[in-house]
Amino acid sequence: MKDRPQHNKKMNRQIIEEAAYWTSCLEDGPLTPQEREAFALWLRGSPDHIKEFLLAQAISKDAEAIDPDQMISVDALLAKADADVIPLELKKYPSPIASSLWTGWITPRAAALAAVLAVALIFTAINLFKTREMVYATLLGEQHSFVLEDGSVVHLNTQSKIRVRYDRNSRAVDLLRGEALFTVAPNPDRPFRVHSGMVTTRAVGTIFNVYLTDKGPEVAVIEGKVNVILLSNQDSAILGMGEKASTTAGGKIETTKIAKPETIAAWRTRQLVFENTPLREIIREFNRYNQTQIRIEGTIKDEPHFSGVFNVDNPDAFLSTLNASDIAVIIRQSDNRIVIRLTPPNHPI
Amino acid sequence: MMREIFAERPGVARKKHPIYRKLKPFHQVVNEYRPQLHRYLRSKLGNEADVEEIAQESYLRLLRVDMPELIRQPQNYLFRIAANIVHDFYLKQRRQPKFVEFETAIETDVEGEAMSPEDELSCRDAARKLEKIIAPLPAKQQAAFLLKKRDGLSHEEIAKRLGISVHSSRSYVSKCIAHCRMNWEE
Repeated sequence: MKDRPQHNKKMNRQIIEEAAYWTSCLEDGPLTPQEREAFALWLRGSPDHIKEFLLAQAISKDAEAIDPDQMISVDALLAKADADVIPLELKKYPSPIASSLWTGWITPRAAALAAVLAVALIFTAINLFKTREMVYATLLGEQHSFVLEDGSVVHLNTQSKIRVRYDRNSRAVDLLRGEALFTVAPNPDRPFRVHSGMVTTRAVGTIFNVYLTDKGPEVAVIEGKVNVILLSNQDSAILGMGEKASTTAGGKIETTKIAKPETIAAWRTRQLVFENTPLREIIREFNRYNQTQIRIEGTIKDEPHFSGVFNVDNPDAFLSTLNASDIAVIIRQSDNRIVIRLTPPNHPI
Repeated sequence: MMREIFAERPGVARKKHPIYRKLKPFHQVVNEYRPQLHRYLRSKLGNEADVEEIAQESYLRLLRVDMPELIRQPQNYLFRIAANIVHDFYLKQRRQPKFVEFETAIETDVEGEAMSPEDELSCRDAARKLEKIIAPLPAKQQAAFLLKKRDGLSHEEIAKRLGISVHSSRSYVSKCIAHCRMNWEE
């Protein structure tokens, strides 16, 4: 528990803002079930979320004791706001004709108010424009949850990025990188589409996961139905609960049944579930979440497969399993670099 | 420790009755679990490393709560868990006499809900500090924050009073909280 002066420098602004957002939401009354789910997932996303939420809550509570004698007048504050804005705005639009016309019957204060209103309108317009297109991203190992303006919830996995484009008739999300889970608020008049690489997924009200792997997008449905379309040739498929779609090298959509559908969103609780999964894929998954990068060297005739449940933050647990088998040697090159050297199996005599 | 947390959670039979399905208001939850936790957090605002330990431990315990159960009342779980951890933390300190400072010893003994004079003092200090931190913010943000926190107005009332949208009022208040957090240290 030593002071770490360096530490405070790297406060995460995004997490602080999210923590403040949830703190004030909770103070304004009960959350909707969707919000509660998003909040619960957000809390489980990282210890930093919990830290910032606790601190934001402490601050918010202390703020109730600000100025107990009501010495600060809100009117005075607002008057000061007007005073701060007016001179600037008047300087910006000096028109001799206009001013001579206006001075006769409109007080300077009203003119100033009009100017302030105009500025407010511009800002609103800018804000509106901004909310039309929002980008959310996570860093290595991070997970975040967002409630979109229509009540749909997005959970973003590690190293992922989405762009949300909403307008009156449609809801579009571009998965630019990584993996996201969507809980779509039902609205048949505004279909919800996720564009990921060459694949578009269309849903009305449903829960599904999209993962942009190095081999192409994978769509998996937890609840409801989605329509998956391949942009190159319009090949399409309807996916139901527990089904997964990926693209084949031949330019087709391939659907498979997932043996354990509950594992689709295991990443939200920072778990990796492997079910007879090839070694390379397991390593690729761990590498998505950790500073420590693992590389495989050498080849082996039959690539080994493994099953098990691991914490995304703890590749060591898997490595020790691997070490116990005699197919590989684990070499720690440095804190952040580990090499798995595959060795041909020792044939028993 | 975990058993202790779960023992407090409402029983299954109670849960089914509609009256228990109603969630407690946030401030009530905060007030129930707050005194020691809050005192602790306030004292640690300037020292993140300590809060990190509490958060890390809370996180691990939170992961063990069933998701459907957690979604029912996420805030209650977090506060209960964090309060327990802080409580343990003080107990542990008390068992190691050489690390106990006078202040901590007093704090550990105060378990009641009522604010002690020391509490009131540190609360007032914190509030004064916050007042200074928000001073450079745009006037409307400050006004929304004061109306919300000091005067207890709803966002609808604030919106009417300041001639802004309800959405802006919400966003001003939450921006102020974030600003205070980022500028707590000079």
